[in-house]
Amino acid sequence: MYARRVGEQEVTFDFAEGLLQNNLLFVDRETSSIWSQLHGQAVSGPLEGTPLQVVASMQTTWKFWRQLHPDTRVVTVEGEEGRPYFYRNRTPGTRPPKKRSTTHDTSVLGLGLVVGGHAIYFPFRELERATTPLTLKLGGEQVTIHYRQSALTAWAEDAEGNLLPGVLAYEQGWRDFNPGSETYRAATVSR
Amino acid sequence: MQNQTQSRFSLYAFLAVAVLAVAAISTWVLPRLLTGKQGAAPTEESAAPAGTRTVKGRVQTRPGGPLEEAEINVHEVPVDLPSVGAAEASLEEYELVLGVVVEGQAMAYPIRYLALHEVVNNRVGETPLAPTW
Repeated sequence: MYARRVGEQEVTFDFAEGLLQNNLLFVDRETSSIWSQLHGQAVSGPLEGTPLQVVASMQTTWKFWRQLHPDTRVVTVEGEEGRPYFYRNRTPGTRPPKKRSTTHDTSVLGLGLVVGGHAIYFPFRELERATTPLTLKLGGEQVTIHYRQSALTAWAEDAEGNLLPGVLAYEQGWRDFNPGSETYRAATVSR
Repeated sequence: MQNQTQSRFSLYAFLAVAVLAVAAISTWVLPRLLTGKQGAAPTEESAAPAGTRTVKGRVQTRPGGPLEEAEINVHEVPVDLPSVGAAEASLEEYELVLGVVVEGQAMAYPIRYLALHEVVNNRVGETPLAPTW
């Protein structure tokens, strides 16, 4: 999620039929610069190198979001119903059903985070095995990782309880943009 | 005679395996090789809405493809979308949304709409936002 501002100037984005490292590009109407979604900056055009202003957001089920924020509003797109998106495999780490499906698979999903220049990926299958909330030091800062299997989500908060910008991503996609990223592994208990 | 029957059976068995292998490769292996890797969820083909322009840049023109100088289509996406209260939203319990809290107001963006356009332009309070997926 980004704020549509370059300094104080508001910009308007459109979708571009091109990719960078297999990820989405968009173009602003004001300068026709090309922006990379996961790089978080303009990659060509008059605004090349300008970073996007990140806004922390959470991807989760409608049910859970409404529990967290009963007063939430919901965006609608007039005249378009769209097709609801679901996670078909609600138990991360287990083998997804063999039948082909157009829904998404959680077995290789996780939370990607960059804090203080330190990139780390929390696979859902590891968070299943860990005790959450999980507090750790990342990039010199205290970060708490929350995980809700029933809501198919994970998110990170800082020491003050503020939501940190993180992204739910498939592991390979995260690594494409963060090749040096650490991967979290839950501690194993010897029996 | 028995040798001929055995040979024919072997031939049929080989052909059956070959047909199955071709079917498996075309329906399972090739799609996985061709779709490449996506950081977020798979993109969905959407019909080009009215208002399409082009822009030049050094990009991939297909998943897994090489970087090349190309003129790519740019599709206009919605701006300043309307919103409704939670009670009026007709969403299914377990469908995905992207949620944000800005200026004290929580706003949910159903992935079903973001998937139509990949990015939309919106505003919460005075803050202009671009949810992407």
